[in-house]
Amino acid sequence: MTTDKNNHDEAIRRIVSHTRLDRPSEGFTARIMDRLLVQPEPVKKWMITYQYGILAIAAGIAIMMLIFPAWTVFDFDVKMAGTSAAQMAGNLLSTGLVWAGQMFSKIGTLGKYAYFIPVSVAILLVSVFDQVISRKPQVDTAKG
Amino acid sequence: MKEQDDIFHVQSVLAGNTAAFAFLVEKHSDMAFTIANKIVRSREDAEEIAQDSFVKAYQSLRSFKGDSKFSTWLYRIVYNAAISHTRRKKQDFIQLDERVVSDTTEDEIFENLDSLDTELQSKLVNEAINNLPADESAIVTLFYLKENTIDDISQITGLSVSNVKVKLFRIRKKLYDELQSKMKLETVS
Repeated sequence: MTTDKNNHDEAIRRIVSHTRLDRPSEGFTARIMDRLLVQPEPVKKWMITYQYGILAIAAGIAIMMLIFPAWTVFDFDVKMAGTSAAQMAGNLLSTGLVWAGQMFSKIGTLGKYAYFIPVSVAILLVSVFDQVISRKPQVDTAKG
Repeated sequence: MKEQDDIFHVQSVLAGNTAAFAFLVEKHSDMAFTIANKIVRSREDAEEIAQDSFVKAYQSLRSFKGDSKFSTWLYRIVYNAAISHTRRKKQDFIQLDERVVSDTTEDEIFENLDSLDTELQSKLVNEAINNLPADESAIVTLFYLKENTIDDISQITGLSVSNVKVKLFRIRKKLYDELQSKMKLETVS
């Protein structure tokens, strides 16, 4: 029964092979390419690729704004004018350290808002995990 | 290797090289047009559907993950577009009459067909395929002419694998009947 079916499959395949695919009219490809010129490019947008990363950063900024309601980092007197690159880096580093210290000291005062911190860490982890699993090379995943 | 060519060009388009899409159009245009033509039965409409499908494929190329062959992914777009088109136009599919099962065996049909010259065989087979209902006509073309697997056809049409198998079985029977009646007419004329 199966052999019969296979034989007939082959027979149909053989006779169908005498037929040809239909061909579109001349200039088919050119017309499509002309239409594509007015289309936006389907380039992988970095905003889409790094959507979770951007979300995590946005969540981080939101938390910073919660901790420093007036965005007090701008209160720091960072001397930049007339300093060398090394001094400038040193100034920024020391300012950053002071700012980080203040941030950690204020975490304790957040009360119920403190849970935003593990949430933002979780979002960050999800973003990293998503990037790792979605970075499979397409060639390897394609069949055939 | 051929599929790797497709993937290479898809990645090239995604990297910003729009011109690489011309390779994909050139390679798959005949099959895309054939699928559309088998379903809508109008060259003008089929060409429009095939063009729209290529543009749609270009626009949504980012969503092609490479889980299936590019051709399978593209033909699915074409198939769905053509089916939607026929539904919009409320075009009735041409249904074959339920024929009385003849006493001619399938082997005899093929023997008779073999006795005809290639051009006439091709004409009869084409006519027989075109007389099948639109979706079946597309399936038989995909399976026998383009040699897609049943899995590929399942992905293209959205039918289950077992449904595709059943359809192919029925299509074979219909093709035998159709070929037989056409050969009888040919012999009379």
